[in-house]
Amino acid sequence: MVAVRQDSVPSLGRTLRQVFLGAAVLGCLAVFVLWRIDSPRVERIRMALADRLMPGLEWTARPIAGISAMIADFQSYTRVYEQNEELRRELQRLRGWREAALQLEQENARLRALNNVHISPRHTFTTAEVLADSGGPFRQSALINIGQRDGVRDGAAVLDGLGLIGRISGVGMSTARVIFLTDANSRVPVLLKPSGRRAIVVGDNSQVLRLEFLEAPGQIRPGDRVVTSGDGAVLPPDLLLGEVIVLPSGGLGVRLAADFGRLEFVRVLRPAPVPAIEGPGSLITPTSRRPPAIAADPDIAPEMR
Amino acid sequence: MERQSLLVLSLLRLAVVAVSALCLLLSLAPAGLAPAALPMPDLVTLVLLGWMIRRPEAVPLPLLLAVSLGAELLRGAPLGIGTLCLLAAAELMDRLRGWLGRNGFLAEWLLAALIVTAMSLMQCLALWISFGPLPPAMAVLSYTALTAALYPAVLFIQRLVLPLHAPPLVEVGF
Repeated sequence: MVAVRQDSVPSLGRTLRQVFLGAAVLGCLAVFVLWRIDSPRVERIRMALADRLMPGLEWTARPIAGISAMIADFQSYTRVYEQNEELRRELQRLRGWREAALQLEQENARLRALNNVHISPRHTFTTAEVLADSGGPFRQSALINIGQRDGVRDGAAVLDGLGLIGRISGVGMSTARVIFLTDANSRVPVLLKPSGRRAIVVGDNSQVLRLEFLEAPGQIRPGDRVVTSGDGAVLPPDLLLGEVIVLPSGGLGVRLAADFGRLEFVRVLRPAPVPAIEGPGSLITPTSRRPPAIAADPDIAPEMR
Repeated sequence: MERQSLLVLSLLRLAVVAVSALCLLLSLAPAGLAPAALPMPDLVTLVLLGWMIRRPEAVPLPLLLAVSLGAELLRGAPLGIGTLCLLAAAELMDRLRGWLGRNGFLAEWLLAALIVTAMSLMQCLALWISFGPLPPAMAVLSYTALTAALYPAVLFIQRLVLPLHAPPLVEVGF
């Protein structure tokens, strides 16, 4: 037995334990204060640790993701008949939408050709695998398997196949942390379409997000599309978040388009660098170079040259 | 003889670190990303509590500090507060060791549940005091209840392969 009786504990050991305990308690409080006032520094430490543990995380992520998928599949088998009916109805509705989309696409292409519009692709994306989630009530975030070396930057938008799920908050060399829109710290400026009103979407760790600081709530209808406004220059504009719904409390909320239940791969946007304009433009004057044709034309009088 | 005891002690400490690391990886696995899903219980704290109660000599304070802070860093929990609670619990357990030995497993489970609840409450309190965003009450409640409820299961699984005896009646040193 390694344990020793109280009367045989040397007093020096006991004192050392008390001193260490006191120092550790103070250290913990200091770490908490540092986390609250200097979160980016702590985030860097967190990402450095995640970078170190990356191989371990990958090792556990795959089998557990597989088991989760199996459980989800089993649950879906139990209501396969209802799902089949639901899918048939949805298919019917989508056929109509497909026709409408094709017509709009053709019309759009025709109008763009008439205007000679050239739209530059401002964003490229990298697909990443979700390695780990925070797994607690205090944070809604996930760790993905791409980082600085893949061109990921802090604040980059992260999407699933359908819509925005969050933004990058903490980048390591080969990992990055995505803070979800559902996190209590998340605030995203949005635009409601078709009314064009602006608002802020606020996360509170639940499936439905709250709409706050809403302009003219009377003009907003359930089902209106919610897209990023691009205000604040963190997220690019026009990324789909979801649609407006009425909350049980009577307020307005947003149902996300992204499917968090099946989040295995995500897309991280990488904005293409916009050429910077430095200083005011200068005039282009015809001082030094004249067209040789004019200089050599014998029909033009010398004083007119 | 003393060398053998030291070897056993080192192996036990290694086992604590290994089991904690495994539980941390399990907690971090992307199994429940949907906000409505049940929050993943704090398995690392359960492992540490089990060892702190039953084999306190295997969890010296520096080890407790390192493992708990590392887990908090990776899980995104309020940093430092859970560890602080565990350190206080380690000191408290030193005084309650006799009571734990006399009252059996239910008392042990009750103590573990109280510590887990105190950790959640302290984390929320610290966030509130520092004007941080508070998580929804239901999420914290279900997380705390699930963590406390899983204590016997985590203990049982560890006992299958590791020497986790009943709580000792004596106090241990640094």
